[in-house]
Amino acid sequence: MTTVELFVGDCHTIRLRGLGTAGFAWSATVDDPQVARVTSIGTAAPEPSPDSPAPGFSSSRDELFEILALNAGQTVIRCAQTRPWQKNAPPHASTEILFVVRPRP
Amino acid sequence: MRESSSFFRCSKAESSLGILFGKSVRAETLYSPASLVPMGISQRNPCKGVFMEKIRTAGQLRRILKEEHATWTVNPRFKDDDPLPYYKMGGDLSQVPKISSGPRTDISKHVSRLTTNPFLLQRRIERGFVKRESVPGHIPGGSQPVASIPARPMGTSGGAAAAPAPVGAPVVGTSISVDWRNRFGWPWITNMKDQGSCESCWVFSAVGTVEAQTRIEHCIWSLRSEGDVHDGLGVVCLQTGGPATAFDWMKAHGVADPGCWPYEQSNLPYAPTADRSGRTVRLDDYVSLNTIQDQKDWLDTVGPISACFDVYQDFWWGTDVTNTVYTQQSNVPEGGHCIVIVGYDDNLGAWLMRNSWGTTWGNAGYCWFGYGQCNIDAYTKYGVPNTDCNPDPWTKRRIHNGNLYESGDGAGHRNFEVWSVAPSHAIRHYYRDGASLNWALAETFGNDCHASPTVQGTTFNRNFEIIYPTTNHRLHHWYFDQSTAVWNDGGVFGPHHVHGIPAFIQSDYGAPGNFEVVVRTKDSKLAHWWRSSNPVGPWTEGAVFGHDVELSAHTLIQRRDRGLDVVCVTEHGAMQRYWRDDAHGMVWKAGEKFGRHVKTPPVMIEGQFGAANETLQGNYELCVAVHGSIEHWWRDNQGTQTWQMSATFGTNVPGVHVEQVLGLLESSYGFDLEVVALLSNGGLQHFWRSGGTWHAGPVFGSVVI
Repeated sequence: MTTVELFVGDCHTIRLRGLGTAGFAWSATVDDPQVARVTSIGTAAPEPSPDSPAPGFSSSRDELFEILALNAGQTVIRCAQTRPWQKNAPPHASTEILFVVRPRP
Repeated sequence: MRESSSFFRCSKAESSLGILFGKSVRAETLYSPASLVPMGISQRNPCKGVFMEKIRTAGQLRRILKEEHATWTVNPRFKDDDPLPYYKMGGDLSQVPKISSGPRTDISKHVSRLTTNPFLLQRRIERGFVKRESVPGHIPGGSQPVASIPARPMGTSGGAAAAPAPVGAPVVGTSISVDWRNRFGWPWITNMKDQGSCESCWVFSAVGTVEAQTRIEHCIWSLRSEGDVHDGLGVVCLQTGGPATAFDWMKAHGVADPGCWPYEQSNLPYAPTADRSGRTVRLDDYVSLNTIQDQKDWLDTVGPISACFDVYQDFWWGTDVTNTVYTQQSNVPEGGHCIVIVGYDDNLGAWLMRNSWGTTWGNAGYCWFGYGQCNIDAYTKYGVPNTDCNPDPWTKRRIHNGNLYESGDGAGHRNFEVWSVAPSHAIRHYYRDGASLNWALAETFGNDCHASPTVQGTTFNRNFEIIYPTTNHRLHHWYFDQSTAVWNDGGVFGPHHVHGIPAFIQSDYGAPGNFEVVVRTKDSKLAHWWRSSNPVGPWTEGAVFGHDVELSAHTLIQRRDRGLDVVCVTEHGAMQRYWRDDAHGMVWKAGEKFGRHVKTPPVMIEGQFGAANETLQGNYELCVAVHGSIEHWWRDNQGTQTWQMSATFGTNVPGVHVEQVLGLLESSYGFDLEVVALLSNGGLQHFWRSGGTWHAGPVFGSVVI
């Protein structure tokens, strides 16, 4: 699991590879909302990749989430990529990030 | 993965390595190892790191990876100077063609063509695109109705096709609405598909358009494989593009069926079956449609179109996607998306969109998409002219039998081909030109043909293959090599006591599929012989079955469960179906009997009536000469599975009668049934059924009786 360390009050953005043009969306939930808050803040144009330096028309945009460190502690942010209308389908992709929030020195 | 971390002091820090890891999923062919998680994170290079640079060569990327101490590398097969793979598939959004960026395509030459789809032809006449007086009869010199039956919509049962409105109906303007899912009483669009997690919508958009146009213009289901185009292009799952790239590839290579190469999301190396050339719908051309009116005219009088738009988040689940008309509410863009437009409704102010996200999205995969929403009317749309699809023999394998075949040759790819017995036991090849509709004699070959041959177009490069009984009571195989335009002797085979005409098909066992033959032998039984096609092997006796068989016939058909059906004539004058139970030991079993006083061999096909979609078995259509006339029978394969006689008709030539039905097919002429029959004077006569009425056409050629 990836670990990210923040100070209280820090704001951190994670960027997830989107599949919006195939109907997939990322969702993110936080285990302990007292420690951090996660918010979807939109999308960003995909960067040129090795196999598609100029993203084609059907390129999906990357999805951005903002994590705001609220209080000292640690919590896991769980991200899942699903088709929003397929409620019971397993996620196409998922990832978890451990956020360790320390008091600001 | 655990990254060493340092504390960010900035208020917003973007995880740039996460971007690279995200992209690594796209680069499975480039990097090793490839299986990285679709998301990663690092805090060492916020917002404007080296990974944001434009990377153009393999060397640049190699240096960057080294600097970053990455554990994965650029594949050694790429030299430093090699440009990174770049597939010109539409480019970025600013480079996608806009309707205002190019000259307007003149669609008048396309919509003024004489389509063989009678429903569309009627629309073009009504719209004034086609002059009524320029429409020739189905047969030059006119025709004579010889029998009529009540017209029925396609629906679930057989009978006759719904007839288009009579030519010369009042001129009307643009249709208020068009819906190709069900139009003119027929379904035209295949079942909904799902691109899965690949960004391959641009392929689905183009292939879906070709698939629909093939159905509309040739009146046959022809499921095509998006994987054939996607993998044939050499792109991997997450490579993006535009429909024009897929259309261009299909122009060069055609598009095969899923059995040849399926659509999958696993980036397998492209390896279609060896007989791909015989199972591709070929595409002559496609056109861009630059104005909204042209696009509507195209939908109304030609067929569905390929289109693209900008996707916003609410397109995923908005209730208006499912229930009403989608209008953009979200301001969060997700990228570009390509789909097929299969209709429009001016009352709703919307296009009818066929998505490629499966049946659980929208309204069973479709939605009404508001005009102009998300730039859908700013980007160029594409259509396939009606004469530019050439379906393959594999697509058509069930809709013809006997000595008659609608080939891909000639204008509009719809020549009729007929083979018959000639003097000195030779075989004559006749054809009807798809443009002039005139019959002509082609080549003559062979010297031991004893009775009417049966022909197949096979996946061996679209070759014609014929089998007939010889004068020495064997079977003889010939094939016409399309690459050399020469008939080749395939050899004599089969039982040593053939007493009947052979039934012959190419089955789906193997690729190319095996050849299967059923013929009556002297002991009044049926003998099944087969030949492996990959590799080509010797003919082998399969089984002997049945009893009291008087006549074998051109009636062999492979069912969807891979079993075989064949109809023969019993010694008591009835017709009887035999079927092979492939799921239980490939045992032949006796089926139902029907008909009376039958003393000539019938011809049977599986048509499109009753096949509400491409997966369903259509009705069987059977024609047989009885008492000098032709009886048309059909079997409701989706319903009662019983045989019914639909019509009786005969020749209009004075003083002669119908001796035997030699060939039957369901043609691209609006699902018409076409028959070639032997007359008592040795002539060959063409009959056809259109809109519920059987017509007697011209007499051409002759057969040595």
